[in-house]
Formats: sequence, C-alpha cells, structure tokens
Amino acid sequence: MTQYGFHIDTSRCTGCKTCEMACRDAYELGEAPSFRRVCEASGGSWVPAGDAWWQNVFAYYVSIGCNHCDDPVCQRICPSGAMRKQPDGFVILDSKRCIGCGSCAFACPYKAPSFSKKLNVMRKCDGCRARVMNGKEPICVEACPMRALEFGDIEELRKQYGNARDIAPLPDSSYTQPNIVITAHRHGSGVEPSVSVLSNFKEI
Amino acid sequence: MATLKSEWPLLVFTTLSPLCGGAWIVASVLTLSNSFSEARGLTSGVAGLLLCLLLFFSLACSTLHLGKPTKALRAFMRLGNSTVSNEVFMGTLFAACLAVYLILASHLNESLLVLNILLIFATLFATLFILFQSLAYRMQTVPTWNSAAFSLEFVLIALLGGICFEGIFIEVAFDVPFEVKLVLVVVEALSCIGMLVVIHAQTTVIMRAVINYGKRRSDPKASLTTWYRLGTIRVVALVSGSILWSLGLLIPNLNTFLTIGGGALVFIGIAIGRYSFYRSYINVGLPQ
Repeated sequence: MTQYGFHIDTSRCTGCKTCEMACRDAYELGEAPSFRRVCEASGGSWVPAGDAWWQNVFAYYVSIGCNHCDDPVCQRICPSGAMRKQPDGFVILDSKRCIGCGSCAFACPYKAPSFSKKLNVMRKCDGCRARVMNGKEPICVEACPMRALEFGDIEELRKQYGNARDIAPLPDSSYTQPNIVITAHRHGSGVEPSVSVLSNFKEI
Repeated sequence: MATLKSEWPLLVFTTLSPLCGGAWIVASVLTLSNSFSEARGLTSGVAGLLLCLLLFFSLACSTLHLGKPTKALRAFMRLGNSTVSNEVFMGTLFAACLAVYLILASHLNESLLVLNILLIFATLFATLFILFQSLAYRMQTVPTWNSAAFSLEFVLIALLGGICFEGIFIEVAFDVPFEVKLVLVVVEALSCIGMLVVIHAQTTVIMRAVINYGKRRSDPKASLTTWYRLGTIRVVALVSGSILWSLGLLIPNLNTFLTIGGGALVFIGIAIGRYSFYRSYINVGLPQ
C-alpha cells in the first residue's frame, strides 16, 4: 500500500496563498472555509547589542491541510462512520454518511474538516484523490509558485527530506502521526527554535 | 467562539439528559427497594411522564446541532464505532425502554414482575448512557475536555440533578418517611461536595491548558477570567441551591417553593457548568 504525503518546505514558502486559492477555486468553496490554510508564525523582539538596540523579528509560513494521518483522530471520533482511512492512505469523508455533527472539527488539531453551510455536512481535503488516481498532483502542489509543496509516496519523501514533522505553530505530531515532512525555516528549526506565535489565527 | 452559537442544543442535551438518567436511577432504586408505599408513582404516572417528556426533549435538542438532524439515527446504527455513537445508542435505548415502561405501567398494574424487569433494564440503559456520555468528550487533542474531572461531572450531574428532581416530586406529591428524605439529603450533600472538588480540579485543567496551548488565542487571560467568574456563580448556585432544597425537604411546614427554588438553583448551577465546558474548548493544534 502506498501511503501518500506532503513535503512542506517552510524555508521556501512566502505565504502567497496560491495553494489555498487554487484549492478554493477547484472545489468551488465559495464562502466555505478553505481545505488548505497558510499559517503565519512570527516572533522576535528588540535585543540589546552593546550600546545599541537591534531587532530579530521574523515570520515564516506553513501551508497546512489534511495530513491523512496514520492515526486519524477524526475517524476515531466520527459517530456515523463517515470518516474513513482508505487502503490507499487517504482519509476520506463520505458526505452521504456524514450527519454534520462537527465532532471531527473539534478533534482535528490541524482544523482540516469544516462545516459546509451549503451542503449541511462536513467537508475536508481528500488529497485530490481523483487527480492522483489519474497520475496528476494535488491542485495545491501544482499551483505553488515557489515549489514549497511536494506530494508523493511518504517513504520516498522521508528518504529525500528526512523525518521532521514538527514545527510551530503545528501541534506535536505524536497526537495523530501526520503524513507530512517538514523542511523547517531557520527560525523554526535547530536545537532551540525561536519562540513564535500564530499571527493570523483570525484569518485561518 | 462560534461554537457557543451553534452548539447550544448540545448544552441543553448535556444538561438535561444526565439529569433525567440520574432522576430515573433514583426513582428506580426507591421503587425497587419499596422505600415507601407509593414509590412506584415516581416511575409511572405524572412523575414518570414528565421525566420521559424531558428526556425526549433533550434527545430532540441533541439533533438540532447537526447539519442533517433527520439523519441522526445514522449515529444510532453505529454502536461501537465511537464513544459518541455508543452514547447515542444507549440514550435512544433508554428513552425507548422508559416509554414502553410507562405505557405498560398504565395498563399492567398487576404484573409487577414484567414492570420490574423493564424498570431494571431501563435503569441499566440509563447507567450505561451516563457512562458513555461521560466518555464522549474524551478527545486526546482537546486538553480542556480530556480529563477525568470533566468526565466525572456527568456522573455528578446525574446524582445531584437526579436527586433534586425526584426530591421536588416527593415534596410536592408524595408522603415519604423522614428516613428516606434524610438518605436523599445525605447523598445530595455528598454529591455537592464531590462537584466542588471536581470544579476545583477542572480549574487546574483549564489553567494548564491555557498556559500550554492558549498562547495562540487572542486573549488567553480573558478566557481564564470568564472561567473564574462563571465558576464562582456556579459554586454559589450549587451550594445555596442544595442547602435550600435540603431544608425544604427535611423541615416540615416549610414552604414547598423552598424545595423547588433550591432545585432550580442547582439546575442553574449545572447549566452554567455545561456552558463553561463548551466555552473552555482549547485544542492542542490550530485554533478553531
């Protein structure tokens, strides 16, 4: 079984949100929440340097959608059995079974599922499964102008880019075992990554 | 948080349904132990009917937060799929069993054996319903809900609210020996003390969650301040309500409204607790 996953290069991402817009456009999301969101992590302050003051403010971006986790908390909590991890590794929401209770949205630490007021059920990223089956890449990956997103067999991605899955402001990967590989921005990596906060929490 | 606007039916459901479950268990124990001559009147007749209507109302409310309320039974069909589906299954079974018992109780006055078997089954379903409900919010990714303190709250709502509910009926419509009333008051007092301990433990859980995960919120201190304020009102309502209810039940010739008023205060305290619960939602990950 191939488990697909995403490589997210936060050192390349400029926060342009083309991935988000391409996805919204392809799936005609209208006013519904996006399947993919771009989080802005920022930090830094004024620091004394001799007799002068210097600043070390920074910001970096993390594009995040459904990570088709190995231990999907949304599936564990779903009362109607609508959320299912498929043999091909995608976590798929069956909208015909969904009753729109929102339990998955409460539980998912990546906020992947969201309620569609139009359809009265939950919706989430399906990894562009239909496109992938036809040998194409997910629309967000294809749209990224900085090539900060990559899609493929997660084992291949890990061989190429390593096993890092954690970066602020994302939750600890041990909760759901997400199928992502992160190439960290210089302020989000290292032994002691810089302290940052999610600056655009209202937007996402 | 948008949750409060959309999840108010759940607030009503999680306030009333454990209360109904607890009230039924109390009424059932008093009936089966034959604690007083008219004890069966607590599970049948007007008292049973009101309890049944309240339970059906709370179950109906639970479907109103769904995108597709008419498809709610899909969760009922998925026993074992998740703690929420187990809760829905047991709640429906409890309500159905209660309704059948009420119908039979009005027609089979002589067949006590059949009625008692149904009564035991309904009580078993009520107990399992409260158990599954207490586990339904245990999400590892929601530190403010994933704690024993919040699970125990459901059990204490059942005890505290259930005894209060039945105590009001006893005071209004039944002639009950003082010893039985005393036992109810002692259990109520112990439940109230238990609830105070639970509220204290919940506050610790919320404080930890705000410190560890609340940094991403616009104003984490504000949510903590709101928790403290609501907690204070909740404690005052629960304690004063329990005292008034107990006095009304134990001291003869006191106004019945004292018992009813005390019970109402306890119910308000319980409802504030449920409101605080939904308001205190914090996820380990990205904010909702």
